Amino acid sequence: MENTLLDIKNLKTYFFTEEGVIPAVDDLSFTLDAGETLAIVGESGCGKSVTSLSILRIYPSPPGKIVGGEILYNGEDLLQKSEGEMRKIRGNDISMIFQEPLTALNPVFTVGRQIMEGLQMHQHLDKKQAHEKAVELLAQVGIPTPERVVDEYPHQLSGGMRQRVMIAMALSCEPKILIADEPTTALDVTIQAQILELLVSIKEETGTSIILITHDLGIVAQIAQNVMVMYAGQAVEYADVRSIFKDPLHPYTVGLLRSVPVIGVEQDSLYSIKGSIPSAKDYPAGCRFSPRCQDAFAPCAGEMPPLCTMPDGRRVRCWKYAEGGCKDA
Amino acid sequence: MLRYTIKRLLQLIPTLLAVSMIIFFSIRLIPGDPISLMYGLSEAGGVDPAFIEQMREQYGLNDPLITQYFRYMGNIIFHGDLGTSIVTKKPIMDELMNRYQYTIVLALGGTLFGSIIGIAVGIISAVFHNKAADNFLMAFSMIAVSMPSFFLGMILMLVFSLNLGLLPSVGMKGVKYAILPVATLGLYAVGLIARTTRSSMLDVVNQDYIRTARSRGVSKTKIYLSHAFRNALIPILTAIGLRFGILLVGSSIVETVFTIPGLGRFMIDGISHRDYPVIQSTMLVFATTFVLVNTLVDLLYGFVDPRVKYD
Repeated sequence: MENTLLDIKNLKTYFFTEEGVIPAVDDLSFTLDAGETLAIVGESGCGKSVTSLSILRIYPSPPGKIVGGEILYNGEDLLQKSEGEMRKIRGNDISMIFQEPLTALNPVFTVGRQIMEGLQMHQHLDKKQAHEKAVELLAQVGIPTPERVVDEYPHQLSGGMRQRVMIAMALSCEPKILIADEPTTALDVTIQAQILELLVSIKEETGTSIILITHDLGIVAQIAQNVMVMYAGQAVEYADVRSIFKDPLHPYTVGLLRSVPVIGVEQDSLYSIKGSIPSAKDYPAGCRFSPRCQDAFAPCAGEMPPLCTMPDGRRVRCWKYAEGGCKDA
Repeated sequence: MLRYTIKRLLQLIPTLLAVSMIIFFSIRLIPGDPISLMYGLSEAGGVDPAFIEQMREQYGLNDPLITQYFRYMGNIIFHGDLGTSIVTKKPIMDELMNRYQYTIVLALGGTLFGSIIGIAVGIISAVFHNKAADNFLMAFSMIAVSMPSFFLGMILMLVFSLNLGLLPSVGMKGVKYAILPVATLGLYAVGLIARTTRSSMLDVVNQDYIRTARSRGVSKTKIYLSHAFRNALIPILTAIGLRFGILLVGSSIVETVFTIPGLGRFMIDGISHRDYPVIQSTMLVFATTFVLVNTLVDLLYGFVDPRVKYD
């Protein structure tokens, strides 16, 4: 596609630890179009955060290492870029919001200084211009007294305010892609809603593409267009948000959706997928979800199912849909 | 902030009073007194015991200790008088003023030297964590902290004064004279400051906000020197404050090695002659300097880390 901004092909990020090799991200492919919001969904430890850190190449290294694949941004492979070239992209073309805004902001610098740093570095603004722009950005993300907050330290702000500051920082250089790694997880529910609204309005105003990493399907339904469900380092289902919610294909996606409580329906106990995520050190042979899968049948334990494209364009990694081989794989 | 500073300074008064008491009574536990050391012991048949007794009376050494203490402190507080040396009969204040400058130059210079090198070594070690450079620098700082200063002083003298002829080895008549003694003292401080810097930096570089800085394209150098260092500074400042105290007292050895007429030597001479007023006054000056510097360090915390609250 012409307006594909980010094209990730067969990305493999492995962690080489003393206990063995951990395939945190294992052969992952997806694309992000200009203006698209893609949600990456999965349980803790499924590799969704490592995926986002891999795009910017800021995963912990050692032990982490990208051992294969391509990350094409505007057609250029980020994995071939030097560290210096990557620094020009980080925070400028692609920027990131983290989960816990208290620990993600530097406690000894004022909010303003942290926002200004990127502006001075990437946009070459002088101090005065950067300061003005920082106040402007704080106002844009809905901070009521930006002239005051700009000179305050993160610990003087509430959780929601801090996350707004994070967003202001991430937006400062008008990035093409905004990666939001669990941006609302650490916040109160009412604040969550405000932050989500903010992200939606930013997207409408600036047209930034968003990769939203979350385990909260409620958020996904609100703002994403496409959803990639990850399990054990791999994509298991990748489809538009409507299909995912209306007619999930992969048994794992089905399970995830069933574990969301439904308002107005009496439930004695919440549904949960039986078993737990396998340890990354020894993933089961065959389909990695098969030991927990209610629909598992003969081929599941034998060989890894391919990620097949269904007739409607959705992709799913499950033998139920790939018996006798994918149509296109 | 101002209120807090004043409060901290007022708190020094009881501290220093307690210190003065400990000094005053503990030095009287050392066997022998100034008069008998000066005139020889009467049992040996030297000086007339009546004369010794008369001298003791004259210096008030026969009064109860508590009376002596209050007289001594009273003179300091109300007259600013530190007393006169029993041995030289000179006023101690003049002698102290004269000598204090050398000691403070040595201690502050040594702390500064140790801090600059120690912090540099610590940061480099943290950047090259567990690599060859780190191992080499940590071995170096271990040696620096283990080497006694009288030995190190003589080695430096041997190399830079005797062999290379670059620097003077004796006395204190200018900046050039201060280099070797300051380096001797400073190298001792390098070890602890380097190790504290390294571990504090390693703690900080794994924090989330460092990842945030990286995600925004901040260079590694800037991350280490600005984002991480500022956060790592509090334990480093504490280590520097404590090291300053050790260098202050340690200066007496360096003063002896380099023949510098500083406070340390004055105190050592005082101790060997049991010159009570001299020992008390020099130790009190050392203690006051030390607590003042550490109060300053405490006040600096607030500038380094805005989360430190003063109340």
